[in-house]
Amino acid sequence: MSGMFGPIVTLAISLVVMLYVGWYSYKKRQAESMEDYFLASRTLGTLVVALSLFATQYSGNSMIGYTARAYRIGFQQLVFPVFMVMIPVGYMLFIPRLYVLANKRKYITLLDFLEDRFQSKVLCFVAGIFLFWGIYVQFVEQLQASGTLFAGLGSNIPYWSGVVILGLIIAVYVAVGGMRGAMLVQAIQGGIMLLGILFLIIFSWSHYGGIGSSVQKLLEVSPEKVLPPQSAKGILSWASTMTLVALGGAMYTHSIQQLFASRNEKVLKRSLSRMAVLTFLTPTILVFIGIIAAANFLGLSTMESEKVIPMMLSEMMQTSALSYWAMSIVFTAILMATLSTASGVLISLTTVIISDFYKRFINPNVQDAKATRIARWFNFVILIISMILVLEPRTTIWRLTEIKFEGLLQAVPAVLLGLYWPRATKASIITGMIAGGSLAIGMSLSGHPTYMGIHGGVLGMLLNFAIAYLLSKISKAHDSEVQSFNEKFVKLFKA
Amino acid sequence: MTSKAEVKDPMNWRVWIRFIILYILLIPWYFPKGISRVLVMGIPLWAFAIIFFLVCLVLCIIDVTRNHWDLEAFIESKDGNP
Repeated sequence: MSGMFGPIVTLAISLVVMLYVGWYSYKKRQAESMEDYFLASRTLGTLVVALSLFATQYSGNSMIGYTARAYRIGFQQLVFPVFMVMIPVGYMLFIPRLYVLANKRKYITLLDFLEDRFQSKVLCFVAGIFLFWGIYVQFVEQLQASGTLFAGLGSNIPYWSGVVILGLIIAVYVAVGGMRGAMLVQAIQGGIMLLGILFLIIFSWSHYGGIGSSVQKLLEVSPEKVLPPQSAKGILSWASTMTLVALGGAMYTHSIQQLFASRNEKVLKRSLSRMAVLTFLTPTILVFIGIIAAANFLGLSTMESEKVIPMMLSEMMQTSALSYWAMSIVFTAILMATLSTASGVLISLTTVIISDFYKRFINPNVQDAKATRIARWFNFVILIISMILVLEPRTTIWRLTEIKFEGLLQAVPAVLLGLYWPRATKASIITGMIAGGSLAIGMSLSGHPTYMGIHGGVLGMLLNFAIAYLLSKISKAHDSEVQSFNEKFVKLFKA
Repeated sequence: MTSKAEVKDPMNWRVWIRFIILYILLIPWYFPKGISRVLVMGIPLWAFAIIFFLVCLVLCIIDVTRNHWDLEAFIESKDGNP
């Protein structure tokens, strides 16, 4: 069997379910308030939080772009499961305390904390730009991944069709369902994704041979794909990638929003530990699939290799009716991965624009009902701008990932120093962010995104930390500021 | 008011020393250079070692969430401004 009939049927069934859930969430909304639209009134349970966190973290870029990178660099792409499991470790740095504060002081976003802590709109604006940048690139990545998936399935399917059709569906259900809708849908998508990844490894294992035979083939044809990093630069690059994603991934404002939406701390803790298990299993399987592809599809160029997963799907679909339908489900699973991340990101983008920028800087007295209405319409504005941008893909999905985390990383010193160090001053944090961000952007624009394998964003964050620390030491926080910090944040954690 | 015995903050050195050691072990700096044909369960030894330490990290995260993190009492307490 071949053709698009199967994928279209499985996709249509999933989309009907998703739209129904969006509508159901709209009916279930507790109030036309920002807390309900953006955090589902803090009522979500473990299964929904864990599966939706998983679905958001595993996106189209991980299933298509990161597997393609495993095709290109072989086992060294094991850095992918490593950095994914490092994200929950990154969360451990600040989420336990921040969750308490978010509940106590009614934060919806990370910027609510930064404003409360530093009492500075300028600081919020600068941090907001970096957070916005990170999640915006994440959104663009998803649209590019869905276009790539469509284009890879057959030569008669245009790249733009994937971008446009899926983009519109996401915008509609996020606009209708808000956070509750997005997270319920993401939980369903998470389930479909797990099934899809399972099918993919089982069928590719039986069709192309297992990982053992692929390794043997690779040792003959491209042994470098079996090796660990061979130079100091390669090892530093591995460590830098781990750090980049562990801390940058933990700064995703949409994931932090999802964690804030947990019903209680028990749910939050259980969700994080389940997420750690899933973040180990699925990327490890995806790396193995990339290795199997490397041994069986020889000689693809960098941009051709981006389509290696759709190429595998299309080849396996032709072997039997069973694998045709199984691969149709995998196709749907990859689209779900793309959609789930894109929806989580889209809602977060509107949160940043409405709650963090519009409400904070333009119209502080806006009614919640009006803000939510504007947020619903903003989904479409963001979508149209993004679709125009990705109609012509300019770089690999992997490079987009790096650029995204390099921006997010610049907010790390503000959050960590803000949470744990009473003497951090707003001026030093702002200077640190601007200096760190400038270094990262400068290196990227000058065509040297890394130095000795270390990402410009990681170097920028180190500079950012150093400046924030030194300037705070020199300028010395006012005793009244330190006292206010102790009153508001430290005392809370003392019995 | 909450008592200190009920509260566990994962921001302490006992937790982080484990994370730091695993972070160092998850960077493949300690393997010999050049092609090794030593395979474990069909995959290169170095990749097997990384996957093994990754499993250790997952177990460590589960342990921290279960046994070293309990700040719920602060959410319920009346300290600070709600």
